[in-house]
Amino acid sequence: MSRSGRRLTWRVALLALVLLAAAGGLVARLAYVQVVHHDRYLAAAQEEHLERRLVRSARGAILDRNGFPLATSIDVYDLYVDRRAWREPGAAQAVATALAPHLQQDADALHSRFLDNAGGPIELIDAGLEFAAGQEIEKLGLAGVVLAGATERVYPEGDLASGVLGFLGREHTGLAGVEADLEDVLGGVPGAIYFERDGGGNPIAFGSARAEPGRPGADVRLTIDRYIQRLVENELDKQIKDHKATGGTIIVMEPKTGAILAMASRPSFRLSQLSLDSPQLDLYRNRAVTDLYEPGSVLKVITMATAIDLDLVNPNTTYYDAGVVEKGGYTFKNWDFSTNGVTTMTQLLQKSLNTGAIWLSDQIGATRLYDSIRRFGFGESTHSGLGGEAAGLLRTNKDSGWYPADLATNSYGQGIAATPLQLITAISSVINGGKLMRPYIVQQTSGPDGTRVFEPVVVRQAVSEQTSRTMVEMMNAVVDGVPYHRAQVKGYHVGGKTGTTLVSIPTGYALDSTLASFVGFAPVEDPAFIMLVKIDQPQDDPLGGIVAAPVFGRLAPQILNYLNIPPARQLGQTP
Amino acid sequence: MATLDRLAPPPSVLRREGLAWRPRRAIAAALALATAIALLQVVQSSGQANVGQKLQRLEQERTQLAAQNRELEAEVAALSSLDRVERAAKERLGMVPARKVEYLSVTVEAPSDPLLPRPIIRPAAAPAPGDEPWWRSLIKALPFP
Repeated sequence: MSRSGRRLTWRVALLALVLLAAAGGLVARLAYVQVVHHDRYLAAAQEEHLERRLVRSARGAILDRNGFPLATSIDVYDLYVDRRAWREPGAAQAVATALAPHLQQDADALHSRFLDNAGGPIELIDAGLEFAAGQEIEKLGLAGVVLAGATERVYPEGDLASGVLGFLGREHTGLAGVEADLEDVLGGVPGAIYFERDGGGNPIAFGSARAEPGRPGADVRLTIDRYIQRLVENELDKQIKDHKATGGTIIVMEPKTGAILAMASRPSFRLSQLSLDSPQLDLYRNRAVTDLYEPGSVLKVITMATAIDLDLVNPNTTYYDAGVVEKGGYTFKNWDFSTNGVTTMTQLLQKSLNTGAIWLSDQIGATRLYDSIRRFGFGESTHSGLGGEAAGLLRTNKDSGWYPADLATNSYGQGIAATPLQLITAISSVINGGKLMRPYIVQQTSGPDGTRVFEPVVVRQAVSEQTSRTMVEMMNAVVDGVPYHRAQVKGYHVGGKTGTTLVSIPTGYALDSTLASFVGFAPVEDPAFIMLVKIDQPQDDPLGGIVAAPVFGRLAPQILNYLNIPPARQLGQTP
Repeated sequence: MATLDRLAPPPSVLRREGLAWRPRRAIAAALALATAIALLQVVQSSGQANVGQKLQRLEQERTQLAAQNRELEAEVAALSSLDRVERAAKERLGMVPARKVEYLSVTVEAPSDPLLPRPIIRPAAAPAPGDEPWWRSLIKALPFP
């Protein structure tokens, strides 16, 4: 070898340097990818090769207070066909013939449907196919037939408590009612399946696969009693029909705990007639918690309880009813335009005198009356947990736009708006020893994470126990002390108060339509339930005592009988 | 015995002959070992595959049984629904709603709960701590991940 052949020229050195730099760069890049960002690139590679499919977890059931299912889920299949798999002539016909008996369809009609590929190569043929039928079809191993596991919500009690339960959407998530309010509890956490896929996204045979189990949803036990709920719904429908009313609401509650035993509103939707294709949004809300109304004379109970609690009056205190009162430039009269002269407080409630409520509000004063109304929960949500709950409307003497005449109208339940749930909760506190309870509809959830029991919550003491006892006696006198009162129940002492209010419209009040209501409880000795009945715009009679009180009179004995509460007196005796 | 000892080759010679390199034996032993390992792996893989298949089959079976269970529960619930019970009472048994309720005083206390059938779905009872087998407790106590 010559000297010149061994000599390292600058050109060779440069080339070597470039090659060395390139190699170094490659090594550095390799180290950067493989070592420094190992995890990131590994994840990216896995994402490229691994397919992740969510597997819906079993949805929890909704049970009534005794454990009877009101809504539960069953497994079904959705059957699809993939026409691309039928390359040979006669393949579609063979599949149609094999499928027809399982789908209970005509084979020729099914075949015609298969040939019509206007909707694309893949088509949903049957949604919600029974589990057993799906299993049989799966065993047939038909080409181009794909079965996807799904679930279907079933309602063993039919349309019962539709408005409370709500419903599910296409993705099997709650869209209304308890189904939506407790979606996190009922829905659980979906699981996932990871598997290696080919370029077309199909699973690779013998490729790696991994399953990540989900967490099933918890069963939710409501405070609703299916028996009482059914009684209530049947009676509400009957009364609305009989009086050609536009709607109505009935709530039954345990006054001591705030547990809601039944809740029904009309108009509402029926689960059996629900169509997601043509939604009727106006029917989906639970009007017992979303819609406001002026409680009318039922609120006189609150005004009276306030006055008694402040020791301003007692049941025998009298005032002079002249039939007319002037306040703030306005003239107020009794609902029946009556003049009653010297009247006791008990008679005030029995006759439901507006002038008496105004007289009471004068004794109490605006600040103390509004403070008391707030203590009873008006003007704030009850926090029952039911979706869309309204807070109500209450304008006090500290708000702008308030006039002295407002105090007069507010004292007998006009110019103040509350939900039916707010009102029954407030009256409950009047009769249960003075405790304002938080109304609740879920008593227990049981799932993989354990059981959670919801206990009654006392929000505050609204009035004293003594006031409560006095009010129970006075409300008993309102029903049992008035001959032929339609809320009376043979054998039991009951209490209550009627209410009739004009329907408020943007320009004031519609003088020809009313909301007839009644709030009652039984038995007086130890109230087991309290019931609010509200019938909207009855066409034949406007009064709560005629339209709403009889509903209580018919329902109360059945509920007392069902709750095994013995009568307090022998039948045949006068109340 | 001393004569015999003298005739015998010294122990060091014996040791050398025993350790003498025998390629055929070594190769045979290595092959046998490799075969044994391969066989073991085949047996293990085969066993694992069988267990995997069995597990998959059992999981499918469990899924099916759970689905059937849910379906049966829904069926029982539908059969005990109030509408159906009332229909059966009226149509099959010829019963009518009570028009008059008579109360009789008895000395027996009234039942505390409403007279209803037992609930269909009951929350599963959690196993008592004493129900767990001893070996499961032992496994739990070991510091395995």
